[in-house]
Amino acid sequence: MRLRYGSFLMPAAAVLLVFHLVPVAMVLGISFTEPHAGLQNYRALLTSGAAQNALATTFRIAVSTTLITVALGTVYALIAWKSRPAIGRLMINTVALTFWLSVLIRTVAWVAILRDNGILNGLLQAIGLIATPLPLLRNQTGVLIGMVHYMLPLAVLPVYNSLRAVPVQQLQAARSMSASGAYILRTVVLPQCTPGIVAACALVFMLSLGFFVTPAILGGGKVVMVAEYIRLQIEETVRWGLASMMATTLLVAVCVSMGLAARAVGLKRIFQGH
Amino acid sequence: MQSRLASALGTAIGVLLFAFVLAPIVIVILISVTDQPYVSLPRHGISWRHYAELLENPKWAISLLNSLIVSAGATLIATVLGTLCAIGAWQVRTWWGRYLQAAMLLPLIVPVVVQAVGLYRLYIPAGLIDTFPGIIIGQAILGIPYVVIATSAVLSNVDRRIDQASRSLGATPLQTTWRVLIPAARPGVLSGALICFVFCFDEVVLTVFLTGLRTPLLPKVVWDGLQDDMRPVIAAACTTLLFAILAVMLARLWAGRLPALRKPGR
Repeated sequence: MRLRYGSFLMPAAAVLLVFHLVPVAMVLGISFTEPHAGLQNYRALLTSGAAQNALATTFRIAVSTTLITVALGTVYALIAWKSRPAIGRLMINTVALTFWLSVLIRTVAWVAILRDNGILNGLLQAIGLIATPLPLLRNQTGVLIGMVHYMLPLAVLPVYNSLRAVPVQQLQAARSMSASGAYILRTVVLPQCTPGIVAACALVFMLSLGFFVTPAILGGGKVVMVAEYIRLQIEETVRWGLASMMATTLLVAVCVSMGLAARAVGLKRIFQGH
Repeated sequence: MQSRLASALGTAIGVLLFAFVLAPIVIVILISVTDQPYVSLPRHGISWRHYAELLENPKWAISLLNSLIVSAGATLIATVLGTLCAIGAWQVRTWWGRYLQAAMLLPLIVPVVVQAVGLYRLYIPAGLIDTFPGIIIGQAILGIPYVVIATSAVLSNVDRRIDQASRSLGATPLQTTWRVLIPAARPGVLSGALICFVFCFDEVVLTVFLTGLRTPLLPKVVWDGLQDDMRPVIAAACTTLLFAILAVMLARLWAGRLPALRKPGR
């Protein structure tokens, strides 16, 4: 009987093996064998300016995105939590809904908003705040705005969930002893959100490392992150070895951050708010 | 006084953040009905001409239809495999069952661009580049984790004795699965399938790597349009997509509110 049910797992396992594990293993293999066997692709990490640049850019943007997203997300969750229930629900449902919005749609919108003759610059010029358009697109600013917007739900939802678990009695007790709002926030509320905040950081950071669409379009070729570097190696210069080397490096980076986060708060927590 | 200032500040920050969250959605909808021939807000009123262009140019209709076919195919495969996997893991409760179930989540962790490079390489000798089966299987792999997670979550609340009850009444494992366990897991299966469909529909990375001129999909057409000169018709396409996603989300809410599963055995 046990074996019979065990066989239910097999079709999925077979498909996963052939179309996921084998391709990923092939990528690892190619990084050591093409154009010829050895570590020459990995040497590019030390010698190639473009490869180093892509890695440095990716790390910089992933860290900035994580810090900004989690900070804004925590503030957003706190405000939604403190607001009247109807407003809080509206805020949380809206942010959860945007999570479902195609990353392409949002990128299209950000292009329209951030261009030199776009909506934001037009608005700022119309009210006389600036004379010449701010450069918001085809640079790191644009990429960060787009990525933070994409990641925000991933930070808001776990933090909001831990906020809702804070017992009301504790807040009442703190207030009855005339603790100030800031003091309660610092000593009662935030410590209980720490696991949610750490989980949010881990999730946002890991997703940021491999991000493709937003940097490719909002960065306009000027901000090359790892994923875009890989696409360029394959589609423009057909250097599979370098592309696979970078893909392997990305995979290792994601696994290492995942391992660190799992040790800090546990794997389950990271994917809970997802 | 100080606390009133703080609460006013809090409200202001809240309003700003809320505007930031909503801005792209509102802007895309507004651009799609602009009366100008280029990307801008409506000046002298709204116009539906960009939607007309969407309908007239067969490029959009074909890619939309293709995208629907691909997403539906990928969702079907992912839902069948994912549901079976979740039920199997729920039943066997051994270490290898748990490991296999956990392994199904790998596509969530491995960056999509890494999977895309690997599939590209696998597909070249197999002749699957720029074909429907190729992209459908690729997206199904990305969708399986969502189905497994959602179905397992629902199954973990199902009383294990219904399986014994079903077998003691003489049902075979297949009958038990089809008539007892799948109905019990239905909310999870449905919600996993909907998540999978929406994600497949706008999967850009696999589409950019694995498809070309023979299988034009909507994300790729929008992608190409963004690379060239961006025109309002893209906003019209995006708005259509937006309302389609909204409809699917409402369907999901509605599915969640469906009367609880039939009591097993009745």
